[in-house]
Order: sequence, then C-alpha cells, then structure tokens
Amino acid sequence: MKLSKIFIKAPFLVLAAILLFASCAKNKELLFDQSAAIYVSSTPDSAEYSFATSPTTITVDSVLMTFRIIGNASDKDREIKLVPRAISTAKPGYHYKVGKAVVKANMFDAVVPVYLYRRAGLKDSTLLAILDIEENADFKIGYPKQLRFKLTISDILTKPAIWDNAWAPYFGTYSQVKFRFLLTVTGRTNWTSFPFPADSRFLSQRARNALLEYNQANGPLIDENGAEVFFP
Amino acid sequence: MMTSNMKSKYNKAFSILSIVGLILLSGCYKDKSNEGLIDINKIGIVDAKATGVLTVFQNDTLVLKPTLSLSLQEKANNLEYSWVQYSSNGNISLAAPRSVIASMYELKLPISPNEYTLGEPYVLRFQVKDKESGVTYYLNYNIVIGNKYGNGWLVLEEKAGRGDLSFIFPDSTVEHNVYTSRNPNAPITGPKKLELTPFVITDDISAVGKRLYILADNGSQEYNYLTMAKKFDFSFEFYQAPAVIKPQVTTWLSASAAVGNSRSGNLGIVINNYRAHSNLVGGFPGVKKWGDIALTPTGTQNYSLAPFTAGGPNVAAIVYDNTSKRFYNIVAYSATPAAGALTPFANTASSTAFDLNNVGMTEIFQDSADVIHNYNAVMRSDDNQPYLFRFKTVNTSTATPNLSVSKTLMNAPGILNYTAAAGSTNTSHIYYSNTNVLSRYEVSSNSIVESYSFPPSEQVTAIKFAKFNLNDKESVKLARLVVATWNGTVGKLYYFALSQTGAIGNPTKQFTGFGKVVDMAYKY
Repeated sequence: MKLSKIFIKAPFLVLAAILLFASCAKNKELLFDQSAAIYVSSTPDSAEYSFATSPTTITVDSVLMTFRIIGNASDKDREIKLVPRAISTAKPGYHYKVGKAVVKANMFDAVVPVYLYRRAGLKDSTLLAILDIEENADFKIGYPKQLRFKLTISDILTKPAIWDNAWAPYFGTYSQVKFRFLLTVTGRTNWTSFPFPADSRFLSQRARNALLEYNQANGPLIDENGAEVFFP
Repeated sequence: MMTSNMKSKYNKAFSILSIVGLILLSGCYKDKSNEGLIDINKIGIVDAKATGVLTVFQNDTLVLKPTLSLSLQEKANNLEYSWVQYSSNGNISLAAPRSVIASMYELKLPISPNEYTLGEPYVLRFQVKDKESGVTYYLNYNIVIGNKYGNGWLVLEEKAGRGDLSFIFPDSTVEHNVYTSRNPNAPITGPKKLELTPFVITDDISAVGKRLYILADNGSQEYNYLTMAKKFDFSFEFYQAPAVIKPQVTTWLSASAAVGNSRSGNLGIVINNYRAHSNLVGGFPGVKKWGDIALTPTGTQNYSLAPFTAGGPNVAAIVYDNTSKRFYNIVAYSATPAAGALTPFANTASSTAFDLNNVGMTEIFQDSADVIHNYNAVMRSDDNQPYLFRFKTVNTSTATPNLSVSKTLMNAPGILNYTAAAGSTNTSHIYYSNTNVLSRYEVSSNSIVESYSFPPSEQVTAIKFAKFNLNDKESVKLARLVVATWNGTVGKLYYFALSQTGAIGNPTKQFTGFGKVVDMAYKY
C-alpha cells in the first residue's frame, strides 16, 4: 500500500501516530528560578525592651529578629542587608549592634540577634531603632509590609502594656514601687508576655510571702502615691 | 531435475532438521557438574522460649540454650555458633545495627541496665553455621527488658538511722537492701515516709510517669519510679526551696471522678515544716515546680498543718490546720484568692454535721473511707476525747455541697495513742495499733469488733491497707492488711487476708529480716 493511500484510508490513525510521537518531546522543567527575596518573619515585627526590669548587673542583652526567604535555599551563606531608617534615635554601635545577619547555606530562614547596651542616657529616654531590609546581591526585598523590624530601648520602669489584663488579677493596681518590689522578689524580667499558670501561681505566692516578710521587718511598704502596697 | 524453487525448499528443510538434530544430540552430553556435591548437614533449632516474647529483668543473667537436631550427627564438631543482637524497636530504627555478642552454644548474658534499656525490645539471634557447607541456620528470640520491681510491696525501713528499701515480690520472695544497692551515693538519714503516686504526673521536670518520693529528716528525694534510682533532691523540685526542709507529705491529688490509676494527677501538695506548698500540672507548657509557702486568708504563715491531705472532684485539696483547728481548701488555679493559698470553705459547703471552718479539735489521723471521695479524720478534743469526723470531696449538689458528713465520739480505746493506723476502702473499718495489739474499729457500730495480738516483744510500727492484690488468683479478690512490727532487733512483716466483712483473722504470711519498718506502699 502506498503512503498516499494510507493517508486517504486511515487519516485518524496517522493523526494519532503523529500525536503519539509529538508527546515524546522533552518537557521544559517548570522550576522556580527567580532571584531570592527576604522578609521579616518575627511576630510581632517589633520589640519594646527596657533594662529597668533587669538587675543593674545586666549591661548587655539581646533581642532576636527572624527572617525568612522567598525562593530556594543556596549552597552558600547569604547576607541580609539591614539599614537603620533615618528617623531612628538609637545610635548603632553605641545603643545597639546588629549581629551577623546571614541566611546560612541550605537554610530558608535566619535568626539575627540585636545586642542592646545599657547606656546612662536610657534612664530618661526611650530610643527608637527601625531596621529596614534593603536589596543586595543576595536578596531582593520580600513582602512590602514585612520589610522592617522596630525596636525601642529604654531603662525606664514603665507599666507593662499587658499589666491590666495579665498581672492586675494577681497583683492589683499598678504602681512603680509595687513593680520594683515584684522585680526584686521574684527575679522575673519578662513582664510583657502572659505567664503560664504554674508561673503565675508561684509569682503570686512568692510576692505575698515576700511582702509579708518585708512588712514584718520594715513596716508597710508605701508606693509613690502614698498608698500601702498590697496584693488582692 | 530439481527446479531452483524446489532446491530452496530442500535447503530450508535441511537446515531446520540439522539444528533440531544438533539440539537433540547435545542432550546426550553427560553432565558432571554435581559430582562434587556433598551432603548438607541439615540443622533444626528449637526452643520453647523463642515462641513468644521473653521478659528479662535488669541485673539478671539471661541463659539460653536451644535444642539442636542434626541430619548428619557425625559432623556435630563442624559447627560454628554465634549470637547476634539488635534492637527491635521499630520506632527507633528499622535497620538497627547488629552486633555479635557471643560465639558459644549456650548464652549467658548479664542484663546490665547500662546496656539494656527498661521496656525496650531486642532480638537475640542464635546462629549455627555448618563450616563445611557454609550454610547457616538460625533461631530468633524476642526479648523485652522488664522491671521486676514493677509490682509488689515496697518497704521503707530504718537501719541504724539510715534508710533502706526492701521489696516483697508477688511470689512472696523478699529482696533486701534495694535502696542502698541502687543509690550507694545518696544515703537517707531518718527515713519518715514513702510516697507513691497511683497515676502519672506531667510536671515536665522529668518524663511523664508515676512518681516515687522518700521523705526523710535529711535528704528527701525523688526517685525513678521504675528503677528506684535517685532523680532529684527535694529542694530542686521547688521554684525556691523552703528555708527549713522538714517534709511531712509529698503527694499528688486528682480532681477526676474516676478511681484507681485511670485518674490523672492535677494538684500536688507538699506539707513541709507544717506549711503547705502546691504544684499545678496540666496541659500547659513549661516546667512545673512546687510553689512558695501557702498563706492563710489573712496573709500570714501562722498555721500548723496536720500531715494529711485529700482531694477530689470538687475540692482540689483539703488540709487541716491544728493551730486554728479547722479545715482549709487549697485552690488549684485562681488569681484572687491566690492559687495555692489556704482558703476558707464557703458557708454552704458544710452540712449540719460540723463546720469545716470551725472544728475546734486537733487532727491526729486521716485516711480514705469505704465510700469513694469520703475520708475519715480522727480528732482529739481539748478534753482528750477521740472524735471521728467524716468529710467528702465531692459535692452533694452545687447549691448545698454538704462536704461535712458526720461527727462521732469514738468508742475506740487507745486510738489517741495509736502507733500506726490505716483505713479500709472496702468496709467501714479503721485498723490501728497500740504496742503489740492490732484493733479493728467499726465505724458503723462505733466499737472495737476484733483485735489480734502479736508476741509481746513486737511493737507495731506500720499498717497499710490494700483494697485488692493484683496477683490474687482467687475469684473473690480479698483485701490485704500488711502490718509491720519491731522487737528492738529485727523488723517483721505480716500479711492478713481480710474477709469480705473486713475481719482480720490470723496472718497468712510472715516475713522477717527487716530493719525497723517506717512505712510501706504497694507499687504497681
């Protein structure tokens, strides 16, 4: 049978054969090949740090920022470019220093420490540092709303923002004297997050026993408002 | 004359016939490949111990010697033996490393706790190789490392001021020096009390499990419940250790309405130096330790607790203050009043039987009663009369909890000076001792209904009641009373199989060779 006759007598067979052969073509791999980008993954993307809740012997502390990449891991370490925004009042190298900002090889995220220094000026000032991610050779910038980490640093004893919700049920109305007393007798430095039940039980018990001992030794503890410190 | 077509057909036929002929002829070749074969010594290996899982105890020596059967007995000397071991815990590894641990026919394997983990399964493979043929036959033994101290009576005793433990196994064999052999570097001075939890505790200080404490004048400690090796010093278990270490109670209570070990512990109570400390555990994260001294409702430490506590579905913990002569409630979790503080009972909590907040007597004994969540408390009045107060830790109703149940002037001679006592959870009885006499006080008739006298030289030092014996093979499982005596030289321990009506009868078993028994607990 001649070829022309096959085309005439069985066109669908020929078409199917052509299609079958066409499927043998090598597919192009659909892989992500864009440049990697990076964004702040800390939740929240800010920290309020006060040295006032730490003993005076603590002169350096740190907060941790976390970052995550969009894209593939790399076989080499990649640097994150962090630049303080112009409105920042904290001085880099004096009030704080950003640790090694690197996404390590084969990793998708990074934890970067910011070292904070207890300077005399922090006693009466609250300083601000906003660290922006900028593009560099390793990373483009990631999600637009997750490109900065905001940090406030002070050495002023302030009422924790969660006092009324987290601590007032155990310790009552806030006062600076009461808070300083709690810091001293419990040794707890983190008053900006809600405690676990076991912790709140102990803190409450310790504070009451310590106040009992204080009052027996010194008479009532009076706060800055002239009121006797007590726990409900 | 053949045509070319015929010639071609002839050639084809000739070729096919030639090939077939060659193939047929090749079959006539004599195959000499099996001339060098030797008879294989077929080896059978059997052992009844290999049919199931073999439980082996730590510190024991495992001896295995399977039976061999050989098809060629004359080649018995041509065998090579080996024992291979590997972990068969699939959760750890499906390809655990194999190691050859012996090359003898009979295995004598010391089960060292350092090498064989409690509860872990292992395979021991016995291999026999016929050296001539190179063929290896094998038999697998599945073993699991068990704890022989899992079930039995744990006995705390004092020997020349030092504490030690003995263990009475279900088969009534006794092992002495259990504590000192396991904790040679953690001596106990002045042992006072054994505390075992019947349910698991999730304090995140250590792995979830039951807890074992030994309270002592010096060196109270927590021990591994399974191995009884020391885990922690007493003071480590507090957020801030008390200034005075004088532990009297370390126990865990359950708010569960269930019974036995199906409960879960939620509130721990320590009574140390007559003051309460508490520890709340649950599903929340973080390490849970014992808290600070509980304060009275007026915010003072002016109280002195009796060394007893109880908990239940509606009362996290109830304690008795011998200073203000009243019961207090310890709340598990609350901001105000502070969780862990001594809290008065609501006025509605008490029935007309007596006021929990105003008892007016000194508590000298307390134990579980025969009704679940009910407790008997023996009190001494100011005019030296014994009273039995019964209370419960489950509400009759929310509106009228009626936690106080009854108050009775006891007709129980000598109970104010008892040397040891235990309440029955089966029948309405309290067993107590004076000198060498064991008495059965019946609550319902308010009288002593039976007594048993030990030899005059033996003073009763401890009594424990066990509702049933886990290893009891009888159809009716009888409660057991265990009584320890001391004659100044040696301690003895007696089992009494209590009748269904609580009768003591005569001892069913007797053990000797103890120091002065201070306390006992059934471990399971």
